[in-house]
This record gives sequence, C-alpha cells and structure tokens, in this order.
Amino acid sequence: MTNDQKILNELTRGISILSFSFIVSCLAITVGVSSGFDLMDDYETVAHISQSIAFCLFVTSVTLSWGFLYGPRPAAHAFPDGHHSVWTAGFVQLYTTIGKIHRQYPALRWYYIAITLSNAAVGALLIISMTFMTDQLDFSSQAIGTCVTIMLLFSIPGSILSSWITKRFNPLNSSILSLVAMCIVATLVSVVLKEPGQEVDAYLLSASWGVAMGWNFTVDRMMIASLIPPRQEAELMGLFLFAGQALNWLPPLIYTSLNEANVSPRVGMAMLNVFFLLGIVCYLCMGRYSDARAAVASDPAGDNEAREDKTQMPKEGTAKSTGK
Amino acid sequence: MTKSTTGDNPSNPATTELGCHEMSQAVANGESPPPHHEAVPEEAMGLPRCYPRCCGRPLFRGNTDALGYALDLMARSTVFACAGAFLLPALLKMAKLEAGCEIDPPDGTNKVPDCHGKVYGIRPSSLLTTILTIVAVLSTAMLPLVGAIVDTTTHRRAIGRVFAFVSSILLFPTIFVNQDNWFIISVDFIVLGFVGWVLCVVNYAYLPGKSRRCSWFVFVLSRAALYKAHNILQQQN
Repeated sequence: MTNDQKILNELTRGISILSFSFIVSCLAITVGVSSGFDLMDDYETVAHISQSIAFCLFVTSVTLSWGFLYGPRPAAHAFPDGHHSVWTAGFVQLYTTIGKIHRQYPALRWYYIAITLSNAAVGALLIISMTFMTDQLDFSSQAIGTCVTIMLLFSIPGSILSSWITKRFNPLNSSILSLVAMCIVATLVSVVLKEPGQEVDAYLLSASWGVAMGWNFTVDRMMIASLIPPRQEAELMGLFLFAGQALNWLPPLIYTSLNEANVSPRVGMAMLNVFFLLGIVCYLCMGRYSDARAAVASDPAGDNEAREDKTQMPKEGTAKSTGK
Repeated sequence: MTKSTTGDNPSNPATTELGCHEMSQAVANGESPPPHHEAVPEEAMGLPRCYPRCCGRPLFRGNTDALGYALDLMARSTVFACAGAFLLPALLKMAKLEAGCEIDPPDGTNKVPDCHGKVYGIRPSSLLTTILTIVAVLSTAMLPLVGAIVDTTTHRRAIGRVFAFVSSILLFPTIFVNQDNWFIISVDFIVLGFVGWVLCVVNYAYLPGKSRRCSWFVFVLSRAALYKAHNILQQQN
C-alpha cells in the first residue's frame, strides 16, 4: 500500500473512518426505516430491509475493489526447496513460532495466552448478547440495532481513552485495566438485565461495553507493536492474529452447553468473566512491562532467527509474478 | 482504473522498502522512522476522472489499494454488523416459533416463558452460539492452510475475486429469510461466515506490499500500531 508511516497512519485513519461510518449509517438507516414504518416488532421485514441494504452495499463495494481498484500482486514468497507442502507449511510455521516463543520470550508467551483468552470472550460477546437480548429480554429489532450502534459509536471514545491511559501508565497496565472494565460491564449486564422493558438500561450498558471494547482493541495492538523483537514482526504478528481467534469457538460452545443444560443465560453471560480474569492473570504473569521490553530489545535471538530465515528464503523471483 | 504510484509497485525499483526490522528498531530506539515516499503530483498518478475526491484531493492520496481495502472492509463489516443486529435475532425468533415456543410475553406478564422445545437437536436459544462455534472452529482450523496458500500464490486477485463473487451469491438468499427457510439460511450464513473470513485473509495479504519479511498475515494495523506505539513511548520517555 505504502511504506511511509505517516501516510500509512493517515490511510489507516481514513479507512477506519470510512468503514465505520458506513456500518453505523446502515444500522441507523435500518433502525430509522423500521421506526418510520412502524415495523419495530416485525423482525422478518426488518431483516429483509437490513439484508437488502447490506447486499447492495456489498456487491457494489467488492465489485469496485476487486474488479477495478486492486491490481495483480506477485506471491509474497515461495516455499524453500525440499521443505513442506502448502498443506502443511502453515501448521509447521505455527508450531515453530510457538516453540520459539515458549523457549525464548516468556513475557511474550504470557501475552499471547492472554490475547487468546480475552479475544475469545470479546469475539463471542456480540453473539451471546444478541441471544440474550432476543431470547431473554424480548427486545425488538429496533432496540437491538440501537444497542449495536451505540456499542460501535462508543468504541471511539474507548479508543481515545486507551491512548490516554497508555500514555500515563504503560500498555501492560492499560491492558489489565481494559480487561477489568470488560469484567465489570459483563457482570453488570448479567446482574442488571433481567426482563423485557429494560431497553434504556441496555443502551447505557452498550455504551459502557463499547468504551471497554474500543479500549481493549486499541491497547492490544499497541502492546504487541511494542513487544515484538526486531526482525520477527511478520512471524509474530501472524501469530498475534492467530492467537486472537484460536479460541473463539470456546465461549460460544460453553454457552451452548450451559444453555442445553438449562442453566440461566445470565450465568452464560457471566461465564465470559472467566476468560477475562484468566487473561488478567496471564498479563500479571508477564512481569514488569519495562523488563519485558528490555528483554525483547536486547535479545539477539531476533537477529539470529533473521539470519536463519534468510538462508532458507528462496531467491526473489522463484515464484512467478503476476505483478506489473 | 490505473494503479497509483504511491502504492507499492513491485516493478518499480525506485520504491524503497521499509522493512519491519527498521520499523521496530526505530520504535525501540525511540526514533521516528524515515519516510520513503514523497508526495506525488496528482497528474502523475494518472487517476481517472471518476476517482472519488474529497476537498479537491483524490481520496486516500490516490492510492487505489487503500481505497480498495477500505471498500472491502466496509462491505464485510457492514454485512456482519447488519446480520448480527437484525438477521441473527430474526433467525432465533423463527427457530423458537418452529420449536413451538412463545416469542412474546403473554398478556399481563412481563416475562417471556421459558422455551424447552428443540429444533434440529438443540434449543432455539443455542442457535446463534452454535453458528458462531462452527464458523470459529472452521476458521481456526483452516487459518494456517489458507494463510500459506494466499502467501505463496501468484493469483491473489483471482482468489479474491472468486471469494467476493461467492460471498455475494451466498449473501443474496438472506434477503428472503422467512419462517419456511430459516434453517437453510442459517446453514448459508455459516458458509458465508467462513467464505467472508477467507476473503478477509486475502485482503490482508494485499496490504504488506512487496515486503517478504512482513508478508505472513501482517496487515496495515501492525505497522500503524508500531507507529502509534512509537509515539506513545516517545511521550512517556
């Protein structure tokens, strides 16, 4: 895209603003139309409206981006000769990276475990909330759409709050505090929301949840950016993305199991706290943030690994390029 | 549309690569990473007249990759936000109706009666979490494989086009969700969730540019986050 970091920052901000604006607009339009035509309780028609808007937008956008805007790209790299096939390469890479972190970077190891646990809970949050609001609180489509819109809107101040707190403390303490905030809100949701007619309470809690999510999302990325050892960004960012979704299946599976066992959905919602608390424990196991940073900054393993990688890397051009 | 000269053009030898190493070193040393690109005059970009502009300037500095990424991200995010807010709750209510459960509180009460019926072997209230579990298991299990394929193929754009087309095909039936087809739409949504996730991975692979060191699933946030972390750490120091 570009290698100039200032331009990249500007582009990232623009991309976030554009996509965020469209999501909020589409949700607001659907809520507005359903309210305007008094379709608040006609969930089927509201779903038709929202999916029609989403479909039109999706087809237009992907046609423009994939049909006209994106150009051809060469392969990022080819496989080293005599090594694994495409079927196993990703898994071998993952295994190698995890082994290396386990041996060489104990602070990073705890960080990745924390990310795995906390992101699993955050990822399941929306779906569990939807189930809770629909099944237990009997919210209309309009109320649910409003909750999601509020949550998204309040993630902006959450992101600003994240930067502010991180500046005053450090990314590790900010991460711990963000998970504490998530715990508090999850507890409040499971305690306060009990029955239909609590839309206003849900809106307030959605705002709190939005702030906590925006805070957590931002500080997670700042933390990994500051802890990655030199020359290993590609590998460790890849693992960061994998860790972020490795356990996303677990909280919904536990919720489903509890639900099938006739356990109250509020207990299922509170169950997310277990993941957040375990995440906090893992962050605490990392030790002091300054020590963790010093360890990765002074560790020569990064350079050694980079040299090893270089010897395994095939010469440029071994993969046929379709680029211009 | 013409490719922007501000983007990473693999055939352009003048484009200097700022590797992740240099970037992280700059962060670790508390230095600001040096810029490698100068502003390119709009005339030199060769942008078509229809290229969107804001305040007289081409959107995203005329970077077609950035605009493409923004549009794709916007499309996927909107689909899943709308589905999460409106389609999935509708599917849940339809499942409850099929299981013979009440979806509204009876007159004179303020509580929806507990639903003990089952559809397709599960309680209706387990439907959404079951959908998410299946999509998450599929995505997690396939991530290393899809990542490796996307990283090594010379046909990224073709793969992106195919998955964008398949996503559109899968999204279309969701417009017509009703009490008779809710289960088919649920299965369709599981497939859509997985296909949409693959499209997301292909999209990420477009972002690192030509850097081989930054190619494995590193997307724009990694570099932007490095830059932001650098600024914050500098202020702390």
